[in-house]
This record gives sequence, structure tokens and C-alpha cells, in this order.
Amino acid sequence: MTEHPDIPSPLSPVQQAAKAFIESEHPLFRSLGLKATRISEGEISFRLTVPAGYSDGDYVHSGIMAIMLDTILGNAVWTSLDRFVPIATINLKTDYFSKVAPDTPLICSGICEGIRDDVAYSTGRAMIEKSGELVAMAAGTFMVGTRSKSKSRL
Amino acid sequence: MIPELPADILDKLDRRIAASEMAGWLNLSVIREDNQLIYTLGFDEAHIGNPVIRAIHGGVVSTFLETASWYEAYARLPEDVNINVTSVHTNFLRSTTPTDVYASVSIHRLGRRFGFLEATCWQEDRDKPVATAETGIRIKRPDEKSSLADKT
Repeated sequence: MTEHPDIPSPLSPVQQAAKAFIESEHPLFRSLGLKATRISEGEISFRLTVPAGYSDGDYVHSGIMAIMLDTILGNAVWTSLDRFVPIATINLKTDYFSKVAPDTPLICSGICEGIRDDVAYSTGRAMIEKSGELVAMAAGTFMVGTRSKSKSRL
Repeated sequence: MIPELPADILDKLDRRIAASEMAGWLNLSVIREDNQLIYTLGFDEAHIGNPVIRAIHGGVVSTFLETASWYEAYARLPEDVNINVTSVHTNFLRSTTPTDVYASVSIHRLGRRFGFLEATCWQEDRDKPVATAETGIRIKRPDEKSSLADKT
């Protein structure tokens, strides 16, 4: 299968790792059928559909957008680095704009706006692929290079 | 003033949780301690964010706190009120371990059209919270008049 035209070839090792983690290495994200549509330095986009198993009533639960955006904002940070280091979310603000039915194709994108003093700042959004309608927006900060694997996030 | 919890509140919440697929995925449950509700995110392998360090995904923790806040408002408002989460701002204070997470919710205000809640969650030690979240909810009551947005 050919890659999306907005995905450069070859990807840097960090970009390749970020792409592989979301697309195939994580069971939750595998269930969402994630496929990269854009990868560049500090920017990343994925196409996905949320199955009915994450619904609340007739619509997808809003929290799945927070889960996706947390991941994609973090991945945007990775794509801006020249080597792989652990990162941890410090905080995440998610605004929910409109509800979506299960199995609606979505585009989730994230941008790393910058890194200062080992803190990365990312923003992102989820949109309905066909109409471009906004579903959710997010802004988060991430600690780049966590001190310990298991004892502390910060 | 924050509405008191009805005597049969756990029956109402359990019915709502049983009807929600996402609540099922979160393995959500709730108990009552006096006038406070304690929510549990029952650990499941699907909640892991990074398989290497086996911490619960931050987005799952945020979703748990958002959901607990929604249920807290649902518990204290009349049945015919519609509640929509508009925003969640989560601070991740400590790393999580692959075990259950517990949460309680403080209500800052439940107004006619909007509510402000703050949820805190912890694992082994309640005095060492792992995350907090401020959640905003839009409250639509059955007698609400059309808003400007509805007219466009």
C-alpha cells in the first residue's frame, strides 16, 4: 500500500517510531484503524474511525477525543526531536465542539508549537474528514525526557 | 447550593453506567460515602498508554475524570436535564501504576445553563493524587429558551 503524499520518504527514525507506535504497536489505537496522512517536523495527522464500542448513547464518547489528542499531541513532539526520548503529559485541555456518530472517518492532527526548558507545547484538533467540521480542540504541555520510568512523571 | 443526593442515587447511576459502552470500556463503577460519590476506573490492560512503562494512558485518566464529573452532575440534577461536557483541563500530577484509580468530584457551581466541576483521582494513597481535572458542562433544562446559536 502506498503511503500518503504528505508523508516524506524516508522518515527520520523518530518519525518512523512515532508513526509505528500509533498505527500498529498499541492495541487501543489499532482498534481505531489509525493511518498516518501527514508527518513532518513537529506536525502529524492521522485518519481514524471510532467504533461503537467507545460510544455513549448514539454518539462517540467525547473522552475518546481526549485520548486520541493526548497521543497525537505527544507524537507531534516526537516528530520535532532528532532522537527518541521519553515524554510525559503535564497537562491537557480538550474542548469538545460537536458530537460524531460511530464509524465516522475523522482526521486528528497535532502541531508541536515549540519546546522551551524541556517543556513542549502542542496543539491539535479532530475534524470530520468529509465535511471538515470541527469535533474537538486540544492544547497540552509535555515534559521532554522524563527522569524516571516508573517513579515520577515530572 | 449543591443539590443533595437522592436516596436511590446508586440505582440511577448503575442503570446509566450499564447503558453506556464507554463506561463499560472504562470499567466504571461508583459507590456512595455519605453525601459523596467515589468513582472507580477498574484497571484493564486496554487502559495502558505506554506498554514499556505500563502507566495508564493520560487520555484515559482524563476521560475517567471527565466521565466522573458528568455522572456527578447527572446524580444531582433532575432526570430531564441534558448535560454536555464542553471542556476538560487535566493536570497529571504523578505517574500511574497498572491498578485501579479512584476519583471524587467537587462541584464549584451548577448554574442554570453551565456547571463547573473539579475531579481528583488517586490510586493507593488518597493524599497523593495522580491527576486533577476541571470540567465545564453545558446544562440544558427542558424549559430553556432558544439561544442565539439555535436561531442561526
